[in-house]
Formats: sequence, C-alpha cells, structure tokens
Amino acid sequence: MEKELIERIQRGDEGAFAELYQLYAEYALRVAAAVIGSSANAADAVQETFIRVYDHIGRFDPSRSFRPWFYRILINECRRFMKKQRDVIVLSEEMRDADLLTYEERYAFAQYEELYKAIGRLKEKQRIPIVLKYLQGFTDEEIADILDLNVNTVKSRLFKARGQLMKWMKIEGERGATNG
Amino acid sequence: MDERKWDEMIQTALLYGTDEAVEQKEDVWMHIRSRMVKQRRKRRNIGKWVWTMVSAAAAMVLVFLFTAPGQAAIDQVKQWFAPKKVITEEIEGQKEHKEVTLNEGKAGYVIYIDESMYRLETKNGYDRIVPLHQGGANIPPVYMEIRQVTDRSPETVAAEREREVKKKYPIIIQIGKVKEPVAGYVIHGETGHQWNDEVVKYYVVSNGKGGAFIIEQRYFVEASEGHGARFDHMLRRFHIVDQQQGE
Repeated sequence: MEKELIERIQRGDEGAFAELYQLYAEYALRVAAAVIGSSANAADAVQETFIRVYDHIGRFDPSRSFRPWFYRILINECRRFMKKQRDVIVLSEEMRDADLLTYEERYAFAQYEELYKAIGRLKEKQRIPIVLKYLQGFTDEEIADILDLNVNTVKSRLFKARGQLMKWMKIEGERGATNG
Repeated sequence: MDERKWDEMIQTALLYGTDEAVEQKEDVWMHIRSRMVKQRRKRRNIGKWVWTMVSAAAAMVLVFLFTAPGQAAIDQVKQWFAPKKVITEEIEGQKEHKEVTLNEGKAGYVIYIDESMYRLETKNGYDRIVPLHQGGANIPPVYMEIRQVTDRSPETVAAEREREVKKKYPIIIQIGKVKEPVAGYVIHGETGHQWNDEVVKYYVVSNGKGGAFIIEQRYFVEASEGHGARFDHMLRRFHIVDQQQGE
C-alpha cells in the first residue's frame, strides 16, 4: 500500500503526498524533538524533511522500503539544525500538566521527565539510535542502514546508552531518597 | 529493574517528552503546503520562460519561411510530405497497420488521416476531423477541431481554456505542458465517470508568430481508448505549414 502511495506521489499526485504526511508526521515530529531537544526546531526539521522528500521523490526506488529513506533524510535535517544551535541539544522542555496528577502519578511522571532529560543528556551518537529504536521501533539493522553504520556499532551504542541511562536514573533515585 | 520494564520506561518517557511537538502537526503542514505552491509557481514560470524562448526560436525560423524566398519554399515544404503512407499504431493494446492520407487544413497545417474511419470537414468555418459514423442521439459528438488564433499567445489561450474547462468539467485529468503528441499545453477534463460522460481535451500549440493553434478533441469516456487515442496518434503527424489563415 505504501509502495502504491509513493508511486502516486512520483506521478505528481499531491493528494497522495498529503496522505503520506498524515502517516509520517506525528512520529517524525516526535523523533525530531527527541533528537534535537526543541519542539520549535523539530517543526522546522520536519518541514524541511517533507520538502526534500517532495523534491527528490523521483529519485526514490519504490521497490525499496520508504521508511528508512525518510528517516535518513530526517536525521540529516536534525543534525543540520543541531549544528546551527549547538547549545540547544539538551532535552530541556518541561513536561506539562504535572499539577493535574495524583501523588503516585506525579512520582511516575517525574521519573519519566527525569528519564527524558537523561536521554537528552546522552551523546548525539547514542541518543539518535535510542530515539529511533524506542520511538519508531526500528531494528538494529534498520538503524545501521539509516545512520550508515555497522550493525555491531549500533548494538554497542544502544548497550552503552541504556547502561548510561540506568546509571543516571539510579543516582537520581538515590538523591531523591536522601532528600527525603 | 528487568530489561523489558526498562525498555517500556524509555519508550514512555520519549512519548511523554515529545507530546508537545506533535501539536505542531497542522501548522507544519500549512507551511509545507505553502512552500509546495510557491515551488509549483516557480516551476511554471521557468516553464513559461522556456516556452517563450522556444517560441522565439520557432518565430525566427518562420520569419525566414515567410520572406519572399521563404514563401516560395512553403509549397516545397508541403511536397516533403508523402501523400499517403502506411503507419502502425497501438489502439486498445492491439497494433494496427493502416494507410493514412495527407490532408491540408485551411488553418495552415497538414495532417495524416485514416480515411477509412475519419474525414476532414468544415464546420462553422473551422476544420473538424470527424468519424465517418457518429453514434446515436444519446451519445456525445466525437470530433477533433483545429483552428488558429493570431491575436493571443499560447499561454493566454491555454489559460482561457483552463478556466473554461475548470468551470464546466468537475473532473480534471491533466493540465500543463506536454511534449507528446504535440509540444504545447494540454487541458483535459471529464463531466463524470459514466461511459457516456463528455470528455474535452485541448492542446494549445504555438504557431511560431505569437499566436496559437487550438486543437479541441471531443468524445466520451468509453471512447477514450478508441477515438481519444486515435486523435492523439493523428496529432503525431500534425505539421504547421502556413500561418496566414488564423482568426
């Protein structure tokens, strides 16, 4: 079905392009926000990505899977935005609506917020594979293809990233307990 | 914490953390749409520029043809076309070999017609290629009319026809520039999807002197692969020879 959609876009069907946007936009925005660490820049990166797809769709071979091709463009755009604003790579945006939650929920929410911030503190080379794996469900092989890396390198970066996150969250938990 | 639980936590944290970004989905689409429209306009303008340059080049050739020695050469141009020839064309997936005959239109062109199926006649002062056998009263008329206008550019004529077709025909099949069967603009619309719904297809071709040839095809949906395809095949052998008899 996706192949048919891509072929329609290649024939100049703008309605098909709108359908593609509906299919891909939400997770493209999530991935870009998590990689860049800024919702505003994520919107710009996603916009550029779709324009690039629109301009270059003629070069895409529809017999191949579209998703890795799309995310390769998206990650390149995210990197371009990060290069422009090197100082905005930490996921610093506050999660909202915590005031509306019960004590237990607020505790869980705070944990997720800490974890999200911790993901933002990961090095870019670890953060991008984590985001692609957990937000988009890409396999290690697909991530290797998107990032043009060896699969073992991807496995190693994911392993180290998970270890780093666990370590930070453990420290955070101990600090919370000490503070009462 | 077990690994699966940890994986779920990472995933949930990423979903929570990026919820705000998703709210921009509609705004981002509006920006993309606006940029697509701008790009389309830019491409169209480049296309117009290219078309103007091609028209200018063609005009230079015609200036040569219509100077005194050039005028004398027109008859010679007509002689370049064989009075009859055998061609092969594919209609509804079948290859057909047929003999076609050179016909000269009063609007300043020659075209090869399969006279076992069509004839060139004059209707309301314009050239029309019509089937020898038209359908019944409940079937839309079938013809291809060719006329020349000298007071409007191909771009102006194409824009006029585009407005007309968009107004009368709810289904737009194609609007834009084409290289085949003729180099020019096409405006193609249909009134519906029923077998006998009307089809109109205009081709607008530069006459090389700032004016245009308007080729108007009329048939019905079911005849698209028959008469529609045959008209397009005929246009592959459409040649401008004289610009003197426009509107």
